[in-house]
Amino acid sequence: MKKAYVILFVVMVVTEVSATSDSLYQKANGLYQQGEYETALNIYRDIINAGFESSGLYYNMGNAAYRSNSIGYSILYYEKTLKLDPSHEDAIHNLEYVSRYRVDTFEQVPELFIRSWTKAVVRSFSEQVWSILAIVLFMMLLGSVFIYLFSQRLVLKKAGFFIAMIGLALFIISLSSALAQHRNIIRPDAGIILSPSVIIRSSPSESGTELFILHEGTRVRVNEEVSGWHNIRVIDGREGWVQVNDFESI
Amino acid sequence: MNLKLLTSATIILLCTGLLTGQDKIFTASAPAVVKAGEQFQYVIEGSEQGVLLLPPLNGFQLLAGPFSSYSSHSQWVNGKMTMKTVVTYTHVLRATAKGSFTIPPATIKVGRKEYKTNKVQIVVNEGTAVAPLPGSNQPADAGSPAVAEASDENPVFLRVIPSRRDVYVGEQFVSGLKVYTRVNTRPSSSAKDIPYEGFYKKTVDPDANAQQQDIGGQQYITQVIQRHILIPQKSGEIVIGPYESEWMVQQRVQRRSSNNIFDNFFDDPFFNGIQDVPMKLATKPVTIVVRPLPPNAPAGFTGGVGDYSLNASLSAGEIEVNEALSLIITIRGTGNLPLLGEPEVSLPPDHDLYDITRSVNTNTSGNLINGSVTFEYPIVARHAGRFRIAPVQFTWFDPGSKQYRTSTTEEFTFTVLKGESEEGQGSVYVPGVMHESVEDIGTDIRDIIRIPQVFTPLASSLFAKTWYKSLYPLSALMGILTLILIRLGARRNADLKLVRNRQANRSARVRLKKADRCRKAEDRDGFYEEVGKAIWGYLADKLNIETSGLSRDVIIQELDQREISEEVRTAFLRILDESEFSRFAPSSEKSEVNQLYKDAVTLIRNLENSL
Repeated sequence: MKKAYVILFVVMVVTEVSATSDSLYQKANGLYQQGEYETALNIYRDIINAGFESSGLYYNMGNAAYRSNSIGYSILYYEKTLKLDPSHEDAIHNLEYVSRYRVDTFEQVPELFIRSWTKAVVRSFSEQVWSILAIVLFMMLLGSVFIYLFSQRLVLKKAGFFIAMIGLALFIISLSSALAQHRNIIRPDAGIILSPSVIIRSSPSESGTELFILHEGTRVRVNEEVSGWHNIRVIDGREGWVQVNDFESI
Repeated sequence: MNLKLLTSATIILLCTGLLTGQDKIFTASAPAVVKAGEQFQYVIEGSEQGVLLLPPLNGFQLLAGPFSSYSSHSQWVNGKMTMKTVVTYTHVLRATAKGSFTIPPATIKVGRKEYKTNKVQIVVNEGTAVAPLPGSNQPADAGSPAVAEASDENPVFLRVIPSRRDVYVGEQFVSGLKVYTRVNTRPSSSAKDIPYEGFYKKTVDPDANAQQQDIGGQQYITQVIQRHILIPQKSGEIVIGPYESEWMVQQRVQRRSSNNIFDNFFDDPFFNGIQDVPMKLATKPVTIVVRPLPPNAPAGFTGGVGDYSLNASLSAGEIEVNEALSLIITIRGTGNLPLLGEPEVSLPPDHDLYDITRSVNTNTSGNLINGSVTFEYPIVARHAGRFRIAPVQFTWFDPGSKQYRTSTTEEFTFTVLKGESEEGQGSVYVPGVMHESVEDIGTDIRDIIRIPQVFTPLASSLFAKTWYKSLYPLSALMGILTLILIRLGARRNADLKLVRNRQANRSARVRLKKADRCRKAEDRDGFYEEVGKAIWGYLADKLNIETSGLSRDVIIQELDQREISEEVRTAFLRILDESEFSRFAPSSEKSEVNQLYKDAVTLIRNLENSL
């Protein structure tokens, strides 16, 4: 009985917070409509600070940031939208549009096709969808194994075998994709440079040799961290160290 | 351009009064108060020509004169002619000292008579030094070079006199070329305009008359011979000149002296020749400081500097498709009108704008360019509908207040009707038939999403949830359970023979049900028929043979193929025979019938088991 009360309380608190998030969201949308982009952005941020997120929220934040001339943040928020919902068409469109205003351009090092394919597969669904797919496929796999093992008729036996094989392959893909997405959520490996321009150094300290300069909006791969400095890697293969407050993880 | 020079010679016209009875009154006039150093006119006016004898002018200096002028007009009234003559003698004087002076009466001798004018009282106040030089467009700082130039070696010189020396880009001002001379002079025929480089220039009329001016105590006759309105095209310091032109200057020529008697005779000053000598005159360079316009011009600025007003109208409010209408924008005022760029007009999409015509209508009254510029924007509508042209903005720089001013028209709307022509036969354009790909007018990010969101806690991962992870072992466990259950079921069904027997018995019974019913009803014929049918039917089904192709031989062949035991085969043939023959044998007992039934059941069961 006591436990039931606790659950009820938690549910109520969650719905309460969700309700305030909703009203904040609508309020910020109204401000955006009136052209008060920076105020709208701050209210959207309040929702994040309350511990909630959604793809639409990040998308709107991207718009508000763009309208307040903050290219770095708008790219960051569109990327966050796409992380939650990789097939968000509006975010894909806007990210492409806003990227035109990015300063840095790179000669892209050609990626191994298998790698880009893998990436494309992993990014085709969100972590949630992949997880659900994985469990469903796992159950299907078990089912078809039983059909193979215990069916008297040859046709069913054959069907069971093939379904089991395909199911196994799909299950492995889904599970590893879900795992990859999960890792990306727990420890993001990509970030966006937010400072208008930042010097990338060869070692994690102010005394490190200055290697190159990156500008607002550039996407980097974030590797290890050493006392407030992060090792980053740019798409063209360059590497260096940057301070934690010059970028934000997606 | 002809220079009219005044000669200082007095023209004496001999004139005897036609009407002697007229009173001859001569009056002298001069301003009552003058400043020391100031020039003024002392004028004697009378009705008849005569010889003027000036009184001594104490305290005044005679700068020029007398210039006489004569005018007369006659009138006929009632057959009687009256004639009026006015003669004026003008002197230019200058007060040399302050105080109160009197110019005594002057004497005019007409024939033998002498007339006297009135005396004139003049008070001379303390004036501003001797320096001030009255004259048109005379900048204050132009005095010093003039004094330097005005020397005996330079009886003639030219000067460029701009009305302003500090202007904004595009701001208009006047610049004149002025000639100063003490002798008779005229330009040689090839006098050109000053090339004002860096300026847009517009020629205006120069002065018609000469003026007199005192420079450094010397009397010069001056006249503006070229006058231009200038508009600077670039900022910075622009230097005008030096400009050179050739002039003919009258000079006294001293004849060569010789012993020749004639020469000596002609050596007399009277015969000293006066000759036109060509002379090159050059202006001194004049620097104009041209300031750039303030930065951050508001939208709609097309280079206008001055004082303008904006007016716009549409030629029609309603047109048909593919017809044209014009937006007419008129800018009126004073300023660099000929240099104005056309205001930007934002047309509704899907309309064609043709070449903008521009007509400038200016005049230069008051030495300023003023008038109007009209821009005509021909617009052709391609589709029917109701359209609007956004208000047109025109911004110009007002050099007076040193700021930009903007004027905005109202918004224009017009309606485009579906023309009749396009529906007619052979029309090229039919709406709905012509396809066009959608054109991008502008690009932007897509709008925000307003539908309510499902908010999830930050960085929530389904994969990390315990209940999700436990689904895998749970489903595996379920699978294992199912496996065990299936295994148990299989063991129960292990005695396959028993099951089959049961099934065969069931099958035989079903087949022989009808026969059984006939047996119980003691219908012998029916019984035998049904037994036969049952056995044939059962075999037909079991061996998968069509009933039509069913015969004893076929069945025996089939049974042999399946390696049926001899015993069963014999029993089968016996029952088949019995069922066929007993039908026609009347001596059959009830016990026989029962035996046959039992045998049939057994046979079918056995067949079921072995097939």
